Amino acid sequence: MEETLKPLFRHFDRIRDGVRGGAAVLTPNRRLSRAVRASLHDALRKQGGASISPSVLPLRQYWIEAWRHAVVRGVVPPARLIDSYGQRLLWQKAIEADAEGQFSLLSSSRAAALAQEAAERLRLWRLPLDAARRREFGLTEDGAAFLRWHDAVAAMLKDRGLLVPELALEALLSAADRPMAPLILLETDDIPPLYAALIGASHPVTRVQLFEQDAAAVEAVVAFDSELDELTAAARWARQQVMRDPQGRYAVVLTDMEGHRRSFERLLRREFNCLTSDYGSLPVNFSTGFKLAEVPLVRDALGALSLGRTEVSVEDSIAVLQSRFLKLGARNADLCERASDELRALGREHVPRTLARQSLEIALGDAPESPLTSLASLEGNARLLSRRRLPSAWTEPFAAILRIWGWPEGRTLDSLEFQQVQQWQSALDGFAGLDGALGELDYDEAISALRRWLTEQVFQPQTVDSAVQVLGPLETTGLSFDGLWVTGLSADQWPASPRPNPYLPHALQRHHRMPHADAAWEWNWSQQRWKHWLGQSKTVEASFQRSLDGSERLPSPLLEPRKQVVDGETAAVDARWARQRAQLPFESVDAGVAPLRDGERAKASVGAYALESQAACPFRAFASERLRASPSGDVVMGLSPPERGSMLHRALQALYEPTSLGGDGAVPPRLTGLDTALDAAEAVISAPRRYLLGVAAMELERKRLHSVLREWIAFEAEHSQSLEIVATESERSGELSGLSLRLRLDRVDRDREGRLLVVDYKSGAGEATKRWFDEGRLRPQLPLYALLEPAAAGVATASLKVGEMRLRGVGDQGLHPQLEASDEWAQTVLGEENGSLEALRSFWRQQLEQLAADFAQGEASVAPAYDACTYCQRFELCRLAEELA
Amino acid sequence: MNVIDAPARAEALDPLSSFCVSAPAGSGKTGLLVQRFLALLARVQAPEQVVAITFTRKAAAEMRNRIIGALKATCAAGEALEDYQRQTHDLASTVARRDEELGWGLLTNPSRLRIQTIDSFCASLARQMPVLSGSGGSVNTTDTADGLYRDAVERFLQGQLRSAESPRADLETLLLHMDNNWELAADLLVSLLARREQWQPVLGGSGLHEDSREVLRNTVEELIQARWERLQGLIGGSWAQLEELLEYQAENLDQGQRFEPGIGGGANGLRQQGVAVAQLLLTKDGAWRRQVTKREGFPAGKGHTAAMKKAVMALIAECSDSGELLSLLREMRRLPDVSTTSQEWGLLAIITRLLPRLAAQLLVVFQQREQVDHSQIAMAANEALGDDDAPTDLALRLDYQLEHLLVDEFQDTSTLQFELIRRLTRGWAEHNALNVIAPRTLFLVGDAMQSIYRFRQANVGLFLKAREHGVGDLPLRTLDLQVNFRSQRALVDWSNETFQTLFPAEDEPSLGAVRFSAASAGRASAGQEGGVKPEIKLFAGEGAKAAELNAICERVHKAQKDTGVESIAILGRSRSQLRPVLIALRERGIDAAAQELDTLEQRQVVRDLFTLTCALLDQDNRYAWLSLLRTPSIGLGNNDLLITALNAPTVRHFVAVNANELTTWDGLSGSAERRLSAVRQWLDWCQAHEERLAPRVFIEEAWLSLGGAASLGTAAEQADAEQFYQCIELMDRDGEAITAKNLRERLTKLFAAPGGLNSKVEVMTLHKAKGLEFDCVLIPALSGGTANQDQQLLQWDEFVLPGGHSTFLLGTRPATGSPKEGTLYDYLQFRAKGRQQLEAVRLLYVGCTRAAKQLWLSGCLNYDENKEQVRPPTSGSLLAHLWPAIQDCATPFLALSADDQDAAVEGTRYRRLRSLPDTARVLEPTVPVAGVRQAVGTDNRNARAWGTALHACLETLAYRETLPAKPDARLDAVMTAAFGEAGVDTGLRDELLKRGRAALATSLSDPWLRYLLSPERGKRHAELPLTLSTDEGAVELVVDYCVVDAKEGVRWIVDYKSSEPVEGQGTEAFLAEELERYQPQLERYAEAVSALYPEPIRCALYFVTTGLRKEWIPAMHAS
Ligand code: SF4
Repeated sequence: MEETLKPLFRHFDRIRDGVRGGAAVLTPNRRLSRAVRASLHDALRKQGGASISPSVLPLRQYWIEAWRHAVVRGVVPPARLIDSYGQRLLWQKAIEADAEGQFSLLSSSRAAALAQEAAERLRLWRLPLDAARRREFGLTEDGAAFLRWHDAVAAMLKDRGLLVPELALEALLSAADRPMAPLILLETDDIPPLYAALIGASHPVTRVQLFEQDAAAVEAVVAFDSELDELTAAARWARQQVMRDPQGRYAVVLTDMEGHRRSFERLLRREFNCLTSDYGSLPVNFSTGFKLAEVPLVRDALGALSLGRTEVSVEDSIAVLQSRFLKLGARNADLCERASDELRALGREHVPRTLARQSLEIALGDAPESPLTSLASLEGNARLLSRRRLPSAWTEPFAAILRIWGWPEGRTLDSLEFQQVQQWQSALDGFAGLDGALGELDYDEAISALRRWLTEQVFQPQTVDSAVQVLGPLETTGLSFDGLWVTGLSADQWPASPRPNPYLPHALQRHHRMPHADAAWEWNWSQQRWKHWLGQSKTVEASFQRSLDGSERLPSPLLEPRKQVVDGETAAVDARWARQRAQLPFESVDAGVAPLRDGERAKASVGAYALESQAACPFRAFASERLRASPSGDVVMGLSPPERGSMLHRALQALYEPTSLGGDGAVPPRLTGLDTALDAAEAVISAPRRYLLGVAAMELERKRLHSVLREWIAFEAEHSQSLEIVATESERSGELSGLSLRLRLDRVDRDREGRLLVVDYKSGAGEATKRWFDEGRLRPQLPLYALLEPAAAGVATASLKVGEMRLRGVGDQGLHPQLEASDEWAQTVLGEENGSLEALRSFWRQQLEQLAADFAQGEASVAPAYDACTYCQRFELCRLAEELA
Repeated sequence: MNVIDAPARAEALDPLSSFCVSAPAGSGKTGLLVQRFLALLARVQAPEQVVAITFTRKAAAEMRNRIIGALKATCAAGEALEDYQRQTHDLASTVARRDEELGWGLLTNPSRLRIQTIDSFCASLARQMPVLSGSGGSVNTTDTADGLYRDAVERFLQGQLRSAESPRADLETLLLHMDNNWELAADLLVSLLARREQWQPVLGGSGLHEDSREVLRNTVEELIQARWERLQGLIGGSWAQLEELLEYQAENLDQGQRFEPGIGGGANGLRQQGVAVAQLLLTKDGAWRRQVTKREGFPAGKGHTAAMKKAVMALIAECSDSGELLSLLREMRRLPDVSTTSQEWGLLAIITRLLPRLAAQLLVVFQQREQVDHSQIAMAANEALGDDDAPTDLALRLDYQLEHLLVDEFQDTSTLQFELIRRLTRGWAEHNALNVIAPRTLFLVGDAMQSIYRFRQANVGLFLKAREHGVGDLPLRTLDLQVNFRSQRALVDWSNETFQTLFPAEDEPSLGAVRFSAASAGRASAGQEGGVKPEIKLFAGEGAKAAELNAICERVHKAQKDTGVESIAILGRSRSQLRPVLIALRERGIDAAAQELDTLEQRQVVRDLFTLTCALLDQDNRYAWLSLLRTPSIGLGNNDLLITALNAPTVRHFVAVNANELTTWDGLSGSAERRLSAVRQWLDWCQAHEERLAPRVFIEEAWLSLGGAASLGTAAEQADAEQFYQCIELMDRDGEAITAKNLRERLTKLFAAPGGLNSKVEVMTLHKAKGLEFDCVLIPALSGGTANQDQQLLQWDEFVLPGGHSTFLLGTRPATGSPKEGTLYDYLQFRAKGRQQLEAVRLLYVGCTRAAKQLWLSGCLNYDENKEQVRPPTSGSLLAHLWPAIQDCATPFLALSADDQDAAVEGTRYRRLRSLPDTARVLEPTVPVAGVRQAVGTDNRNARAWGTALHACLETLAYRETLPAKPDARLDAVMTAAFGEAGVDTGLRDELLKRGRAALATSLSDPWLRYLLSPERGKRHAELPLTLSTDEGAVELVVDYCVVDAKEGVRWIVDYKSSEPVEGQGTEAFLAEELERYQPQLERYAEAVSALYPEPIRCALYFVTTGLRKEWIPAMHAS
């Protein structure tokens, strides 16, 4: 296909002679250089033979090459150049060192980028910081800070033997016997003074303008309602152009390249039908690629490397198990699920390395061939993680770690992935070249620095030269098209508001016409772009998005006043969506019931929670108890409510354990038992959790528990001499509607008359007692107690809340002096004489049997009671929203 | 048309004065701002000198577009225009002339018009002064910073607990006070961080502050003092009498019960005296006393006794006209005790010590995440302007001197924003005194009656303060617009009449109380004179809610048919109150656009997409996998779902299952088996394409393969699905990991599509409706309450003290069982309630004034069956506020019984696709790419760098004037630079340098090479770039060294190599091997060179480290 495309550079005849005479061609950007070179190749191919290759380079690169040449020829001394990225790192260092203690900037990296740009501009404009200028800068705090940082950076550069490119070029300019070549300058308006001086000192210089005044005419500007409409139309246009003339050259200019690149690529793929199967045959070149760090293959490499950090992200650890690029062998699905669950159960976003690895070990094993084992021995041998090294010395350990993880052999690489591996290699080389800028780093720092570096690297898939180019506004310069579509031509973007560099005085920037200095600059720049576009293509389409956040936008004044605004089409729904909607019929089916299977029945015994779920929402019981499907919860700060609940229970159990009560089990327990009880409570929390929470947090919970327990003991002490504790945490089992039941009674007391009271501890204010009597929606815990302890003369909930200790429940009169009868009980039953608890019991039995029968039958309708959903949140599974719709 | 407030409108355009303008609903505020902006533009040197600040981006765009429109219209002939338009036209023409004169080019460069939101204005200040503001440069700002706050709080809790004694002990006390419930503490601290612009100025934010208890105490004292003085002022001439009465009362009361004036002077004394006054005049419930008895210290009797009793009643009668006095007396009783050493003050001390540290922690989070909230930017902007001791010279910094500032919606200004405006206009008064003909001006517009953004830290008191005192030392003239151009006369009259009684009688800045000012209708009414009055409908009884919904739907239906009504809005206080209305409308087939009622996350279509995404991204996610099996595409019934869960509970399990195995799953239904085997195939496709397609494309394709799009029943669902996909695309763009957590976080921040595209009915909250206008407005569910805030752990409030300065107070909830009286908490709670009530009335006012033609209000009341009468509305509801004004005229409709709609649900039905789409993916195997290096390492780099360095040295040697005898310092320098740039391991550099020197020494002592390199050889080319035309197109080549040996009459092509024989390899074998490898390449060089130069060619591979060489005559000469 390549041969048949028209050239992008169509002015070869205007430079042919110059090039033959040995002139170098300087362009404003890389894209044009490439197009020019393609034309040169084309010409050579037609004519055959060979030629000395002329230099065809972007302006800046050309002069850097010229400097290198001069070095080789001994005209200027050799030096190590430092690129903008390296400079920015030094600026950031300087800024952070300066900021220490004095002030703190919200974004030192942003400050570094701007300040570096400012310094670079000063050099490009050849405005040295002499005494007068320093005084001018010193007038403002920002200027003064800039000077301080500037001097600090200069010192660092000197110290490290590094040279910024502009100073190298100044050296070149002042070198006496500098080699000189004839130059052809393509479309380079607004050349900064430094380059202008270099050009001025060259001879001869030919300037070539590549656009024709108003070659194309724009009739109308198209206004779209949304971004999507605009891009869809542009994509469709591109396809239509290619269909009409496949040899033509077309370009779409995206004003917001970064924001729209992805969606536009997708829309183009859809138009050209290359979404999946014909992925490689999209006839489009994009001028920008993707951040290398975010490409899945590289992202997974970084993820694997990150497992060596002191603090590891839980999501990163889980991602390792999911990665397609790590070769971890066939994993046991049960163990992987457990490992993920366990990682999430740590309840943190970041955890210490060792904890993360412990969990991963569940899935990856600890055998010698496990990556974790190899990793541990590698780390141990080389004191890998503790030593500080220069970036260049880190690359080998990184490689070794990745080899252990089998990266990138997890899957057969396709050609894009192969390119990514290659670029990863060269990016690592680049990272190694940052020794001077970064200095020695520890492992954590090295990984962060590597990630930042890879974020700066762009992965640009190699594609064949294609008919359609998707370009940023600046990248069209000098190219010729058969059709051009410019998007985003709204009044607020063209021209944009000026953005002068805040570290340079405004007046200085304006005076020297630095980029973005003021409104006049912006207007000129926009106008030039527009003039170019009109002169570069046979046809030009202009569009913009009419409304943004509900407010109206106007078209760019560049288009005015001649242009008429016409309405663009609203993008139709994706045809495939519409087709499915029209063609795929639904049926309504009954979800049915899923009776307990034999296997389940054999294994499971049902606890209070299952029946409680069944009462709250049958589907919830089905989902949680039988499917065991629960959405992963949010990360909770501090101890989670269940953890605190079990600590309380354990403490109370220990406190009232018959062995700790002295022989007769008499209450009140001695306060001296408290410490042991608290120790026991603490032990309930798993070691990793305790570690994560920290000693202080555990200590604090102890303190709280201590005061709760003290108050409880005091509360009980008032009246309970008459009671004896017969059991704590006592296991009971039974049967309900053929289901085996198992649960623990928190505590059983016996009074002098031998009557039993079952007590259930609650850490909060306790539940609404109403629900013990609620037909069909019974809260089953207390009723179950009553059933499983048939001898009980009462059941009660103890709420252990500081300031509000109470014991509420139902039971024979006088059973326990502190027992408050629940309101309902008091109203309905207490008034009557004995036997009432029995009546209640049989009500409960009947209710519980129904619940148990429903559970066993697999009755699972989606029917939430009260606030059941608040504590369930299984909306994806139960489809409640669909029910309501 | 002549409007009655025309003089005020004309005056507002006076460019020599600064104003604070009250512009009530429908008064054409934007029009006025546009005119003034134009009037000011005509007087400045550069358009950037006039800045207008709006509340929303939309308002900014509207104002800008109207100005541009006006400027454009100057080209058109200006006849037959209405007054306003003619005036605008004239103003714009003047601007156009000035533009012409000074070459502004406003129409070609409209971004020169500085009309922006306060946020973007602050951002631009912060950006322009990066160090002063502490921003560093432009930083990313987020609208939803809760995640950042939470992060800061978590680090704070963890960090402080591990820290040194004092902060740790503080935090422990605080946590224990909250029952060691970290989530609770976190919520609280998060909400405090969100409001830090209020407390940071008082408590500090740098983390270095000490206990600010004293600051708070002083504030309270000042407050009490101020209240006391106000009390004296209000009672005025009767004060002496009052004191006499108090003394008399004291004499008659028992010790202990009676109040003794003068105990401990100071604030506490005043407070106690205030309480005494209040007790004398008010009943326990806070109403004026209707009588006094012995119990209050006024026994029955004659003579003096009777006179005193009479005197009290006379005093009460005199006072009872003043609503302000009544509320002041009520407040008196709640003022906090300053002398207390209670737990509250202890806790306060702790909080004031902790908060600055927390703020410092937040700053660290901002720095690390490189993202900040709007408050931070506003604070940075303020910081950049400098404090009064060291004001920043703005003229120097902003490029343009700010001459005129216009601020819209000033009633919604926060304290911080107010301070910003003050700093911006600092020194203007002084400047204006010297420049009478060209003063700088400030123009504030707002409507205090429409201040409803307290929850966003708006403080309406500031508007009142500005009206009264100006801003800083810049005085403002006040203007009041009155004409409402929006609503018909009957509505305006009703609203005047009603709200006059509901609003407080007086402004009270510190409480945010605003009095009502009546509007006058400016709009001619269609049809009947003055239009129709509002309809007020009340419903009572069990079935009231249903009856209300029914009536609303009927009313909407009627309005829909009314051709005079183009837009209908149903407004409510909260989303939850509006949802039933929306459901009722949809049930009756009335299409309505629900503006921002549901989040995207709440829609089933989106939940299904979320499920699909989670199942695809996390193979171990049981919940997502099982949920996926229930989506309409697959739709397994409960039993099949259970069997799948038992056999293959995760995707990872399932992909390990062989399709034939499904038949062995006991009990699986036939249809499930078919569907599952399709899913099995589908998963193969997914696994092969995962990470190879863009995430959005991958998910969308996977979804389509399952027939996912079939579920998109409505346009709104389609829009929701598209929005979901865009969300994925954005995450991809932003480099955010697509995890369940991140995705859900994004989805909960987005609103579902409103639907109702072609309907003229909209449903939205009252807050959202602000600034909008509809022909017909319905405000139902007026009886609904709001969330109870009584139990909040902290109460806080901002104050504008009479001196004019703003300050901040906070109080902690007393522990269960401790008394509330006299606590700051109690006082602040009292105030909060007061403010809330005031704002509720304003909210209602905002709602009612949205209506142009028709207004409907409705609510439900409880019915007391025993007394057979309705109960008044529950306090806190909007209806309760409206009640005094309507109770006499509205008769409730009784709907005593409710239809039982709770028909028992038998089982659960759900939708599923009848069959999966027939798009089974054919899986093409990946074509493996050969040669992926298994080893990923650095050896290569070092070797390459070493080769590059040697080449560089040899290249320079080619250009030396004299060839050195052995390697020298210049060559060392070349090598060092090359190693550095290539990133050679530092440890290896010396070694490589040594080897390089040795290699170069070998080469330099080789006579053959010396001969070719020596300057006498004439024209030499090192690194000669060539292009050669070949069958595959033109290729570019670089020849290491190319030189003519005139003696021999040949041209040499030399290629340098840094390789050497491996151990045990003989020289010959080595050379043969190398030749085989490189000969073709050099032959190509030869071909290219021969096309350019006439001499016969010789090729040579030269091995630098050993001095070995392989020469040959290229094939083309050989033949
Ligand atoms: S979310 Fe609600 S309806 Fe769904 S299963 Fe849970 S409790 Fe039932």
